[in-house]
Amino acid sequence: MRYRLGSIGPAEAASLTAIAMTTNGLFNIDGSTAYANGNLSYLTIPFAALLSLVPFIAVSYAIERRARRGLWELYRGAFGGFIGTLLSLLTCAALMYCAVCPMLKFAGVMHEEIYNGVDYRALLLFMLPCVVVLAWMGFETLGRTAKCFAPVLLISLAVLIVVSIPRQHEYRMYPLRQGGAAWFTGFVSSQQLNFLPPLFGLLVCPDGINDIKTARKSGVLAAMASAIICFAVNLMLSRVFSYQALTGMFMPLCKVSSLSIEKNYIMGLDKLLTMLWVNGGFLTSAYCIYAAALLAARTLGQADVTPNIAVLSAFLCGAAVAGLITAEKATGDVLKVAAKYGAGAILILPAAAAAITVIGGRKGNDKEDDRLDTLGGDTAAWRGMS
Amino acid sequence: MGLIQNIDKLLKFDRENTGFELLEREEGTPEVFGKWSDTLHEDKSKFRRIPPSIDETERYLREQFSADVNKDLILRRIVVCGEIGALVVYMNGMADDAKINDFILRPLMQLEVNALDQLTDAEDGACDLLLRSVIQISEASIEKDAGAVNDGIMDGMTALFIDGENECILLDTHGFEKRSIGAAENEKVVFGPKESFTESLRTNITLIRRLIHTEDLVVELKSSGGENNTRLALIYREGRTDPALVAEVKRRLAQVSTKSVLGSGTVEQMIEDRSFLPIPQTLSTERPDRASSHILSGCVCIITEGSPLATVLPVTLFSLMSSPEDIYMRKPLGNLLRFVRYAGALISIVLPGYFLALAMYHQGSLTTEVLSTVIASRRMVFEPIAVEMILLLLVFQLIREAGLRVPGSIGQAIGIIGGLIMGQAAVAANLASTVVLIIVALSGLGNFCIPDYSTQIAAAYFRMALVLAAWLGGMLAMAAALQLGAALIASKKSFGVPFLAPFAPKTASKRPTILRGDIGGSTRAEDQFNTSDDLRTV
Repeated sequence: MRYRLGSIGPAEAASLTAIAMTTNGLFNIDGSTAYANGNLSYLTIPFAALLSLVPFIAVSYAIERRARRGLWELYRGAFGGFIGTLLSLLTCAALMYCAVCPMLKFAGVMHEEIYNGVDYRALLLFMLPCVVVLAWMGFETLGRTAKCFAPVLLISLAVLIVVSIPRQHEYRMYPLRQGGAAWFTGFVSSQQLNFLPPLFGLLVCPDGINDIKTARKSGVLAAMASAIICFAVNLMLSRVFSYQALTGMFMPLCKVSSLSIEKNYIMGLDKLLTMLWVNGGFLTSAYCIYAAALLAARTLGQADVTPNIAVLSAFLCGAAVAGLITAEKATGDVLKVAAKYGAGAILILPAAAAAITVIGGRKGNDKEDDRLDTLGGDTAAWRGMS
Repeated sequence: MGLIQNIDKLLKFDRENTGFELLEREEGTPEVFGKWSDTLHEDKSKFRRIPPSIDETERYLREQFSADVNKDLILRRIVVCGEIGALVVYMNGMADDAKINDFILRPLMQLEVNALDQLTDAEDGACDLLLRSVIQISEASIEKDAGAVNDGIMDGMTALFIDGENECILLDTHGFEKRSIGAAENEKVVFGPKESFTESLRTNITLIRRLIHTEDLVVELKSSGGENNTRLALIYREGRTDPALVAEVKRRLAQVSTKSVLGSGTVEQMIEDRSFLPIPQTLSTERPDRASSHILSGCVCIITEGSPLATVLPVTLFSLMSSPEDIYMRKPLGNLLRFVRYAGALISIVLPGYFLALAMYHQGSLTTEVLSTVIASRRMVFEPIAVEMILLLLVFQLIREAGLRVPGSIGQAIGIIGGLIMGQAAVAANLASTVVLIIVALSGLGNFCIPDYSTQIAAAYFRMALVLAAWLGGMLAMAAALQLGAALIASKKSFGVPFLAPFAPKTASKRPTILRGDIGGSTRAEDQFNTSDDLRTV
């Protein structure tokens, strides 16, 4: 098997997932929806991150209880071969959504703020190869690189919060109420497409993180860290900009850094911080591509993940180019629709799968146990009984 | 010769060439892409019996060593007990003549005639009796393999053959000239021992044994695998060092097969995981204390004959960046030095590219004063700033390399010439600007903060890659290059140990990575080396 999985610990897995969730939570927000009639993003987005833990934990417990090796086997066991494969591919699509969005967003920031007017294709020429190579290097490299970058990204956000204190005012947070309970629920649900796929990526690679328990622990840590960071950063943004200003802004964090950081501190610090977040975007995209490729390989019974990585990388490149050159017209609309309706699917169906498998039968499955025994290897470890 | 004859000789193109030419001996024409043909040395591991007759033995040795032209081989015939012939063989210059004369030749020649019966009737053979009763050398053994005897002679030992015996006695009579123990030249410390390794294998092993007084310290001597048959020593702690690591090192050493092994660098390149990468995967040190520290932490050390460096493996980035001086100072001082070292390395690698990106693509990020200074200093410089930066970085490498090669008395002058005169002259001639010169100088200073020489050179690769990336695409390209560089380092392993351990992956080690830990307070200090027992090290 050539899955380029390797072996990483919970700290690395949590770092990788937290970077992915935080990048999506901070940079993949639709301003027109998030800041309509007010700004409660410092509550809605962290709540969405924590809410994503519910299906994640439920599915992980179902995988552990039913002695499945990962998400793909859970789908197959709950819904059968055909529908299970479809669900796996749907999850792959959700992961690719999380891979494409950061590239679109950051390429747009580069085009608007830093490299004024430079052609999108020239910018993607630097961004996409890095993502492709990172995905190619595998899960172990991604986890360790994420562990290196996580403290740096954390410090960069902390620095930004601190230097923006003189610009923060409470009055900009008003109105405090934004829509009703229905709006709150709808918005939080729509954000699941930003937070769930990275968590499900852990359930695709539990054997690379020792076992499913460690994957669950890593996911919980990542979600909590992401929620705290999203809360702090969005609170800062809500105190620096009013909701009307935020509605039209492409990437508010870049604006904060360029306004708050004096040139005398460290020259180019605002650009440096943006580039650090771009690195977070690289890791997010690479992780999602790898997880999607691995899920597809395991669902379809392939022994090698590298062809899938190559195909999905090509898809990423095409989607990124199409999304930017057409000024997000076609791709942007598709993504918005996917975010609106796909979030529900990605939330409900795996949870239903988990419920069916947990409620519907006893521990384990005779036929599945026989199949695992014939495969050999440390099957007891998969069952968590060792 | 007259003028006309000289002119005639000059203009004559068909005259016969009487100069020496190295003619091709292989048949046919070489292939388009060349053809590597390693002629491996004869397999010396095959056992060859020693002939019982010393005449035959002498004939065999003369043939093997080309004694008719190779005058270094000394073959001394003597008679023991007035009747039994013996042959003493050694290599002139490698063996100690005084030892041979006083403790081998004299006792043998002064054996009384009435000992003849004892010799001929000895139960275990004459060689065994002589070894136990007559020869007065501390290290001696009986050898039956002619190949091993040849190796011993070439190594400085003396072989004693007795007529009628198909074995010989190998006696340790090493007496070649060797360099005395001096101070470390490339790993200087203010506090701490000053001794360094020498080219003698035995001396280097002794230097380590003086620091590690434990019974479990094992020194295995092996052939290096080159045709020149130099030896190397594999040093580890039996029962402490991970046996799988030791087995893997031995397996890789057994696969070494090359023309010559003249230093530890050859062995390192042949056993590394990926020797084409600039980042070293082993640590070369000339300090016994540093090598001993790593052996105590669970690493394996290889010392090669003829090389004043010890190779330590496995290695992590943090061990490459640590200096032996860190543990000889108090913790706050050691931490400050480490912080400066890491900051220097970061400045060395990132600063040139960062400045280039700001100057070329993000001038808006520079303050007015800095921008005007850069513009003013580059007003008359004709080359683009990127070319200027790359040229100055190359000149820095030139000065550094020239300073190594130039003899000692002039070497200091190179630094003055390169640093002051060339720099000032280049600025005056509008070949370089002062700002870029300062950036390159700062980068160079930071580079010298890295303790390991191989890592210093590897940093040059990363520095140049970031400069090229900044030239091509500004900070975006630099960010991508940094990310890929970090991923490359994160993916690297040294003999199975991740290069970024114990940071990524996080191990059970409580030892900090960048900062120094407490003296003697940590157990399982090096968890990533999977030692068999808790080790109390710093």
